This record gives sequence, structure tokens and C-alpha cells, in this order.
Amino acid sequence: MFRNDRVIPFFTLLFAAALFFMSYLDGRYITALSGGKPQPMSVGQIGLVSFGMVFLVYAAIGFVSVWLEGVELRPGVHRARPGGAQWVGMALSALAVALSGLFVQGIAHAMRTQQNHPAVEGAIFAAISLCVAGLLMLYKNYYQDDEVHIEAEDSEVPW
Amino acid sequence: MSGQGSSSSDTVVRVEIYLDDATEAVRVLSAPPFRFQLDSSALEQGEHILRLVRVDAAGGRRERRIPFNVQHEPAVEVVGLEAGATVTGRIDVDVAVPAAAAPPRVRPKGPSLWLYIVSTVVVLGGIWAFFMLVPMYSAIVSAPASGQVSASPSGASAPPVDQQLLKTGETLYASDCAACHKPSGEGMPPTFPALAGNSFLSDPTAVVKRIYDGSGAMPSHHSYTATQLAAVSTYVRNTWGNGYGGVTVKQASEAAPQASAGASTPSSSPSSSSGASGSGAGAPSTASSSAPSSTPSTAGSSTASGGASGSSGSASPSASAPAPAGSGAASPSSAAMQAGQKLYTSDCQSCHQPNGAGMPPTFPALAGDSFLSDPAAVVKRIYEGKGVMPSHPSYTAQELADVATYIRNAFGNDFGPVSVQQAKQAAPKAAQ
Repeated sequence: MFRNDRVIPFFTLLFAAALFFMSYLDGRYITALSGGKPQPMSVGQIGLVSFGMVFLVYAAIGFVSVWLEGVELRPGVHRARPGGAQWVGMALSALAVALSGLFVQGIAHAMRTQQNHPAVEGAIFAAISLCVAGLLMLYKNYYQDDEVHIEAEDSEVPW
Repeated sequence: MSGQGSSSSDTVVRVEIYLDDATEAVRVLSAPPFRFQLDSSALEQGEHILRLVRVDAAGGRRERRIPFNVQHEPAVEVVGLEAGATVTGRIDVDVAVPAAAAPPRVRPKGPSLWLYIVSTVVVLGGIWAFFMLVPMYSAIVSAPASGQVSASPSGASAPPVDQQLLKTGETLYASDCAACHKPSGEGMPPTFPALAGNSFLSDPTAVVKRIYDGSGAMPSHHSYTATQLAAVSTYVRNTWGNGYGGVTVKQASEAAPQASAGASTPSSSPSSSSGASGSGAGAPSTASSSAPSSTPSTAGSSTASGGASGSSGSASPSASAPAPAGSGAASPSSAAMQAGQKLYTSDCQSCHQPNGAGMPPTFPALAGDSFLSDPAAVVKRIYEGKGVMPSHPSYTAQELADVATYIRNAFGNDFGPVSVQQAKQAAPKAAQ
């Protein structure tokens, strides 16, 4: 009842990887059919990647939950113990600031040269988002107390 | 407990901790914070004394004794029901168990690591195997990114290529196939599949049959001779990096027994527009046999027949074709008709046929088609395409006007010319 499972996130991650892999192979198939000329993503590939991303997010939620709360939930108040997390937090913050500067530089470069590189800009923005997500997870795990409540089986709480 | 003090007698240098009557300290704390952990589970059940000896800088010792009781059995407190209480009906009873008495934490046992490994291998390996081992995909996916196919998938060396057939096939392809499959062989998937790197081409019999009988949006070519079938098959199997080898006339005859065996040259193609070479030299083409030499001008002027190009063979199917509504419209210029005919020949006639008869229902006839009465709709359809009709985004407004003018005034049609201005209005995105 109080288990925080790793099995479901793992298989969700596996299915996400499978969908991405299928999309990749499908892309190779289309490219080969086009005489080696890279083609825009097909509708099928977009569908596969979209479902893959949904699975990926679901898996990430599951793994983060295990990391934050542990495999077994124990009722009661759990005090946060920072440990050495501040160093990781400082490193992530510095990285996020550096990436933000790079992102702005990319926009300025695009305006100067009239050449946009959306893939690079998207990748930098994604990295910034991951840094912020990591900082939030650090805060949640090392600086915020937790309290686990239990509900009776016949409780009216819907979940 | 603090070790801060102003005089030497107040300065704590260490704290010695003893249990019961022991003379040896269990812990000696020499610096703040003076904190330690007492493991009561190692003590016997019953009463004990914790002795803490404070030693100051002057050597003075002060002892404090703390008696305590060790209880190993779990103590249980019950709230809501007191001993001897009289109760009736249902009552709420809370049982409080101290942490020490709580059941030991059991580490939940997860699935074996092997389950994760095997699952990963099965799922990802299954997908890989599907693409790599299923014959339909294997040749395509394993092909290098450049699309080079150096040998037939069977591993056998490709049959020799007849250079004459290859050249003939190139001409036929340009006139009959390139409009849909593109000169580069990349096609317009999914309607018109790419021929470059297409493993379907590995089977010469299937290729010849597909060309001869058609399939879906692919029109049949019953007018082709066995030689022409072999030529086109050889060309598509050995161009754009394909290396499936040549197709002989004998193979083509066997694959399409109904095809005539005449050794036609490319100029005998029903869709060939090389007027200088003449038409219908051997191909039993309905198109060429029905193609009169007059062009579709309302005025029937000889200038509209494009004498300069000499390519009047595919212009009009029948001078007696009923002229649709719009008859009597202004005559198009011969220059526009010639330019339009040239574009039609290269880009349109393989589907709509040289005589504009099309191949209904997939490729509608243009001869007598009332849809052509609206110049804006015609230009828009050419530019944007619809269904199996491909778009032509590379066309300029002038080219759109030329093609629209041609098909509106060829094949017995008489809808009048389309100006560049009209083409611009109908397809504003077209290049000037």
C-alpha cells in the first residue's frame, strides 16, 4: 500500500525508448526510400515521438517520486537533511546562468546574421529547463520537510 | 551541556561517561557539542545508572548520576479504554506503540535485475529485428544513408546493364515518369513513391508488371513494347544509386506477355514530344494514334500549332471534339501555347496523357473538362495540387499562365487564354 514502485516507471521508460527507436528506424526507412535525402518528420514519426514523450514524462515522474520519497513510504514527519546538496545546487545554478547567457547570445547572433538555429536554441533551452528542474528536486529533497499521511482503506479520499 | 566559562574551574576539558559501577568510561567527550548515543539494546533489562563526570581545567571532577530503566519488551499504550472501564456499543481505541517496538523495517524486494535486462533486450531487440530481419525492411534500412545500393539484395551479382536500353529508358522516364517520380527519383511520397533506394525494384518481373499494368495512382502503360518496358525497368533499377542490374527484353516479354515485342525507340513513345522524329513508329499507342496534328485554337490558326517546336503530335486529340462552354473566347498567343505545351509534356502528360484524355477516375480527362472554364481554379489546382495531383510550387506565374492557357485551349477546349496577372491573383505565392 505504501510502496513507491520502480517497476512501472522502468517499463514506461522502456516503452518510451522503444517508441523513439521506432521513430528513428522509420526515419531511416523514409530516408532510404528518398535516395538518402533527409526528409521532414512524417506524421507517423511525429505520432511515435509524441507518445514517447508522454511515456518519458510519466517515467520521469515515477523515478523522481522514488528518489524523493523512497521506495517505501513511512507515515510521519521526515526532516530534511541538506548534507552537501548546496554544492550541487550552486553548480546547477551557475550552469543555468551560463546557459541563459548562451541562449541570449544565440538570439543576438540570429538577429545579426539573419540565420536562426532553432535546434541549437531549443537544446539550450531544454538544458536550462533541466537545470531548473534539478534545482527544484534538490530543494524538495534536501531542504523541505516531508510528512506522509495515511488514510484508512475506507477513507473518502478518492485516491 | 556547555564547556564555556570564564575561570579555569568553569572551563570543561572533558566529560567522562560511565554506566552503573564501571570504572572504565564508555565514552569520553573532549569537545562540544557534548553529545553521544546510548544503545539501550546492549544493556540488560532493569535499572541502570548513567554517570557523567565533568572534569574542568583545574582538575576538578564533579559527578552527576542519572538513574534510568531499560525495558526491552514493547510497551503498548492504549488510549480510549482504561482498565476496569465499563463500556457499551462501539468505542474508538487507539493503540500507541513506541518506535523501538515498531516492526523492523523490511526492505521491499523488487524484481530481479534480470527482468529489467531481459525486458529491455526483448522490446528493443524485437523492434530492431522487425526492421532489420523482415525482408521488406531489411534491404532498405541496412542501406547506407547515401542510398547507394551496390548489388542486388540477394547477394548475387547484378545482371549486366544494356547501355542502349539504359539510354532509351532515360528518355522514356523523362517523358512518362518524371512528372510523378521526379527526375531525381525521389518521388512524392506517399502518393508517388521514391524509386531511389527502393527495394521493390530488386525484382525485375515485378517492376515490369507494375509499369505495364500500373497500380493505384500508377497508370498502366499498355502501349509500351517489351523493349520499352525493359528500357524503363533497366533505367529505374540502375539510376540514383540503385544497382539492381539490367532487365532484358526477354525478361520483359515474360513478365508482360501481352506487350508487343516491337523494338521501339524512345521516339515511338506515345508521350514523346520530339516532333522531328515523328510519332507512333511502332508503339500501339492509343494516344498517338488519336493525336491529330492540329492544335486546339479556336481560330484554328496555324501559328498556334507551334510549328517552331514541331511538336504537334500530342497537342490535340481531336479537332472535332466538342468545344465546351466558353467557345468563342479570345485566342491564346502561340508563344503561350508553345511554352504551355512544353511544360505539359514534361510535367503533366504522363498522367493526363498526350491527348488530354487522362486515365479516369484517377487522372481526369482535360479534354472537354468544364472545370477548366474557371482560370483561377485551374491555376490554383496546378499550383497547389489536390489528391494525387501534385503541387507545382516551383512554377512561376508565367509558367502557371502558360500551362493553364495550354490545357484550356488544347484537346478541343476553347476557354481562352490565362494572363500572367490572372495567374498571380490565383496563386499569389508563385514566383514572378
